[in-house]
Amino acid sequence: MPVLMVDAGDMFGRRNKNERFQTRFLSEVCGSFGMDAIGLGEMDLNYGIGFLREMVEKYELPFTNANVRDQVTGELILPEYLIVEKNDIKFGIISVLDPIRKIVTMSNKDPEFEIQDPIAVLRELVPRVREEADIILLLGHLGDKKHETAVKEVKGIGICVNGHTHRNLTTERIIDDTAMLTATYEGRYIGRADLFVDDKDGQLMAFDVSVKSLDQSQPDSEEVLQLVEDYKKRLKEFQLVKRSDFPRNLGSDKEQFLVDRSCMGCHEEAWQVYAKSGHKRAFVTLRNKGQNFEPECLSCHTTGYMHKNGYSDQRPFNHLVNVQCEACHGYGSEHNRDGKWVTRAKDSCVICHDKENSPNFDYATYWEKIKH
Amino acid sequence: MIRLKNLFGREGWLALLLTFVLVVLSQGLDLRKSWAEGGNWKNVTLIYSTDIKGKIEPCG
Repeated sequence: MPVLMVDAGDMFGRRNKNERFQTRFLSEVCGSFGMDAIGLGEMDLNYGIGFLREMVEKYELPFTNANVRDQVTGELILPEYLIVEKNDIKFGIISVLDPIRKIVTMSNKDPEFEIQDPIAVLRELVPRVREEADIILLLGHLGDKKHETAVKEVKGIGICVNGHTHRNLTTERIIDDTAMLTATYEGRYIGRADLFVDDKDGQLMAFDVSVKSLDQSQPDSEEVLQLVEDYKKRLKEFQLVKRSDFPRNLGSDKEQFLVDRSCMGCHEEAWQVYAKSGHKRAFVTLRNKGQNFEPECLSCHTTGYMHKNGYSDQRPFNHLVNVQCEACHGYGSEHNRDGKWVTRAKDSCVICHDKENSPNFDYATYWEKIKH
Repeated sequence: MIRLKNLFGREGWLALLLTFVLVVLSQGLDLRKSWAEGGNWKNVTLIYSTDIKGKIEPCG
């Protein structure tokens, strides 16, 4: 039976170099499947438009989107729609992204993007594509409620695959004359809809849906397993290379970081100031952005990174998270008492609060936030 | 044998009815055959996913 394979967006990973490395591999494998259409989600621009275009070209990923434009040129950043023919049925495939999704990229060189109103775009585009296609298939990246609004307000959409629905498990339903399909998240499930299309007018008559959990009960493809194993070897080399850029060779292995609570006993007032400061939440803010494995970021969001006995993601040093007292004052076991540690602490501010990461840093202003 | 001149006699109606039933049955067989061959619709299997988010296998 002819197969039409699509994705409704957010195929790419989070904004860090490790996941970009993994996304490249994922793109290679998905390209080998011969997918027919991929809608655009906001995460697909995490690595910038240049990376996306590279994946499209190198691995023949059929991305499409109708409402995201380069703010400077006004041009759409991807093909406006795709026509895919299967079993003499022409599918007009359109993808739209919710304007509420903020597009943030790792690259500083990307153009700003304008996300147009998806309903307005669909109102104009669907009739136009209908002239070329039998069935309109919408790859929506709008979230549940907005998909409902879209298919109610814009007639002529035969099938809507719903993206950005997080962990919603409502697998299929019908709204007006549109088949609404959801296949959940993170590649844990995949949806299959057997479509019955009228021979005479090319209209969708019926569909039969099943959503499969891609768990251990599903047989693995030996070919893909081998690709994954090869990828893991490359990933290990990649991580070793990354770590080697940040060797733990500063300080002394005779000294120890004693951890923030050790300071509290004698310096309670100072500790209370620290506990309420952004320094105490430095690791969480990093983790929330998915960058807690990035060495460039860890060096300033942990204590003693690159120092002997300093932070590592492995025990027993993985508790040295956040900018603790010793991040500025040095090894607790050293505990200088000759006053030099105050100067050292002051000088350490600009190591992390540099122009790239803290462009508005002013010592006097920032000191007021952590004065102790 | 059903004579034509008796076509609309009792036997004639019976013959007509029988003929009608046979015609309908034969059409039905044709229809079933055409359904088996794909009939008046076409099939396509749609495989769909979303929000893969760069995952290639679950953690743990």
